[in-house]
Amino acid sequence: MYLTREPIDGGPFLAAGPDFSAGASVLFLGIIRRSSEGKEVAYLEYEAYEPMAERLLGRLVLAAFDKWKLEDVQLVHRLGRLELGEIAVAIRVAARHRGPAYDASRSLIEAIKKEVPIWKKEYFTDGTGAWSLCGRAPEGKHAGI
Amino acid sequence: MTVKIRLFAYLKEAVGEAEIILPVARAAKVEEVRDLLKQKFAGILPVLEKSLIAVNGEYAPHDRLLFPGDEVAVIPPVSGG
Repeated sequence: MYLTREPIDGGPFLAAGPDFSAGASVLFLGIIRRSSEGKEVAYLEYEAYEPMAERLLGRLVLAAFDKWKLEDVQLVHRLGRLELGEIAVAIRVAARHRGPAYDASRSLIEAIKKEVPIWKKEYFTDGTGAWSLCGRAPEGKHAGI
Repeated sequence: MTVKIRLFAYLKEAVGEAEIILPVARAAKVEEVRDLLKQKFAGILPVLEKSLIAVNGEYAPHDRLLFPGDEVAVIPPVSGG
């Protein structure tokens, strides 16, 4: 399960693996920021097409293991209401060396932002709210509207 | 036959439903559902045009055939992370 409605604690992501095979561990945390496009954010809500999102996240993790010969991947994305400063997504990638760990970390977060069906609605301090619609749709042969 | 179409996020709020049922021919293509949605919800065309269609939880090509029981979902631009 890669999706959770519980607050994400970054601490457990720092633990070393049991067999000490990884020499590099990269932790990415996506954090709820105060400002968005000039407006002040009060809080956010995330929703997902959960079965599809879970499956796509699992596929991305497997593909990353394979491509970068990783030792470990932990990934979790939050759903529901999030306050400023809370962790929306945590990705920890462990590899024998730092190169593949950095590359896989960056690739995973970019893929999530591009293709996984998760959406955020920003609620602002002025009482308005808006779904973020600036995300890119996946390219290629898929059916657009 | 009819096809169940799930809506999410902006589209769910704009349409006011999480799920709609549309009549289509058996073995209709995904692009026929797309055309129906564009007619029915012309008021939100700009977002529909940035959306993708998934069938049974996978992004689908235009010529994917639809059969009874398939779950269609309209995926507006994603914003996770």
